[in-house]
Amino acid sequence: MISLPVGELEFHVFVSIALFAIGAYGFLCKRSGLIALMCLELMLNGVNLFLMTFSKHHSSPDGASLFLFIVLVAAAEAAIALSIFVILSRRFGSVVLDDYRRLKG
Amino acid sequence: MIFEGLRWILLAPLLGAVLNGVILQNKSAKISGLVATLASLVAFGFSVVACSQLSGLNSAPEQNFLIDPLFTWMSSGHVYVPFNLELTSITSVMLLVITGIGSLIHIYSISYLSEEESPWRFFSYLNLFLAAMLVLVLASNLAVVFLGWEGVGLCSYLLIGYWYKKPENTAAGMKAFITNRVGDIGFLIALFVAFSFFQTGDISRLAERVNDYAFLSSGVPTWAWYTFAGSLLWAATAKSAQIPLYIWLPDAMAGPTPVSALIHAATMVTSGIFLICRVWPLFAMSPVIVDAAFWIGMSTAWLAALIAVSQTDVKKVLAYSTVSQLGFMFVALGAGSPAAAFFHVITHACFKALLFLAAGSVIHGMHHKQEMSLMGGLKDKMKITHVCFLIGTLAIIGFPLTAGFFSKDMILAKVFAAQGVFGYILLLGAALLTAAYMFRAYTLCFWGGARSEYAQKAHESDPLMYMPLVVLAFLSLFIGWLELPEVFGHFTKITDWVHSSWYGVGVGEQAHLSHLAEWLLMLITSVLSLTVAYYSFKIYQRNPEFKILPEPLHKWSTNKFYVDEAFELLLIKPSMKAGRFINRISDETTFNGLANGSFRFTRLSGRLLALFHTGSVQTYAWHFVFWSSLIVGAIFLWTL
Repeated sequence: MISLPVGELEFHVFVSIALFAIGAYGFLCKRSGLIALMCLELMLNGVNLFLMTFSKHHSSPDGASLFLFIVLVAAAEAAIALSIFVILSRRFGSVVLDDYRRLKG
Repeated sequence: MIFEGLRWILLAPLLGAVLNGVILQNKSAKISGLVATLASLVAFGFSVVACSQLSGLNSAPEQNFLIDPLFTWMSSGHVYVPFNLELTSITSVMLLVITGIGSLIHIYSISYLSEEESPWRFFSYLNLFLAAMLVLVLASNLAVVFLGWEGVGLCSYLLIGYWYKKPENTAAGMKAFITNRVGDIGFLIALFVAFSFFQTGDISRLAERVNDYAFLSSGVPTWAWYTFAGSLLWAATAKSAQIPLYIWLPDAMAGPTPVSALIHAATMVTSGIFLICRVWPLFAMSPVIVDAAFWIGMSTAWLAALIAVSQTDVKKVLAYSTVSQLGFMFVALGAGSPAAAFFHVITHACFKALLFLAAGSVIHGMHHKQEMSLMGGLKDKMKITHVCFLIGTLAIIGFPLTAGFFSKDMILAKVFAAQGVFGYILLLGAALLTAAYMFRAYTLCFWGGARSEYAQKAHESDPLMYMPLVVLAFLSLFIGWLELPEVFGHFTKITDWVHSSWYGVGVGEQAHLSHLAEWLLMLITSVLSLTVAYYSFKIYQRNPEFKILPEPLHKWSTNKFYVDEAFELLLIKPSMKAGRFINRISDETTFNGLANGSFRFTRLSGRLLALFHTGSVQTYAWHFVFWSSLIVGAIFLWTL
């Protein structure tokens, strides 16, 4: 494998941190559950980019293989989370996270 | 020699106890009694076989015993305790007494307990007692002896409290147990000394230590010998009911009468004397302790006899008489003659068991009334019981040629030889008191007119009850012939047996008396005892209310010299107070505080943590981000 050109590494790291930060902000602050879910995916992808960057940088397949696992798990997680939201929205008539407070029992 | 039959002597009663107590619960007295008696008879049979094996051995005194190695109980460093059973000649006599008299008392109990609610409980305990007592006498190691020592204490407690619905019975049981625990401390200390200074708990090896010059010169401190003997004596004063720990025995009469006969007269209470006889070579290394045994025995013999003369309950008279006779045995030990002590153990087991069983027969015939003031004139209604009681009485006061005559005469002669005229006269006084109170009890029970309707309606017990009496009466008459004074010919079975169980370690007996002195002592003792007995008999026939002691001695005597009250005031109340104080500062303050504190801490932290539990997913996410970045930041700063 060929490692990244000089200057590319910093750019990629910056982009992945930015993706993660945007995702985290959205997950913490947006009221809609669906947006929170999307932001969750954004965070995951930020991490994925990070992994791929360093995999390339070190010419090692470790990060790339971890990336594959994460994509796999993220797909499953998205499927389950969406179906949960379908059931929740039927029950509560809303997808706003604050409306689910009585789930605390 | 190895003889594996010894374990069955032990296992048979143990099996009987389990069978009655666990498997065959709630059976009638006949079935439970039969099982228990069979177990006891099997043990007796094996004992007879073992004893004949032992007497067949003709080896040197060092090997003159049977051994049954069972298993290793503990092994740690130089503390090695094998669970071995061992039969020496002194043990064999004890074995026959325990299983033989034990079997008779089992048979007697079948009838005595026929109207009880839960006789199976009684028979289970009784068998368990036999097993524990057999461990005590057969064990070859002091640590295993201690197991039996505790076991008989437990069974004694269980049987005293057999009628547990009466609170005074359970109190008597607890008193016996606690008093014995106080004595057990002595046993434990002796055990520690044996293991740490003599480096063995094995009785035979302990005895050999006395002759082992390499060991003696290796610098064992003198106080170790004294501590060993002294603490063993302390343990014996509890088990064998001597001053100051005798107080439990009279109260132990709350149990059924067969129990009083077996445990509190014939076997368990003699185990202290038996133990000292077994380790005599070591015990005799501390002359001060031997002298202490003499004076403890003497004062107990006197005190108990003085109390016995004024008791009105027939079982109480016999109980104090037992304490007094045990005092005689201690006096014999103190006079340096374990053989005389052991001889009296054996004869006393026979005649005191007889007296208790006969008294039990009277009590049974009187519908469980024990007061002698309610009896009288029973000699025509209970002929066999009357004759047996009379034989027992004659034996205990030392009527010529009965069992008690030989053993008591031997003790008196040894005391005369060891302590001179003064000791002899003191002990003779106690013996004369025996004659007085025993004939008082006998006359009040069987002579004169019936003093209550119970006495008028009294009836002879059934054969199951009087047959054991007859056997014991026979023994009480003739068992004394095992050891005759020198003037009667040289027949000294008991002395030989006792001496041969010290594994060849010889301990010299002190100077012998001349024949003339022996005759004279015998004559004086017999004539005086019989005179006192005769006057006691005559006086109590005419006046059942007669007081032997002048006032105020009589009043003190009826109140047992206020010993119980003194104990209450000096020991029990202060220790109760101390206990409550410790309870307050340790249990209620410290431990309750710790327990409640941990509960309060958990509750408070729970309440605080519940504040975070809002139900809002995003709050949780905020917490997660905040705390994890805090931790990651901390680690980052730490590794910087």
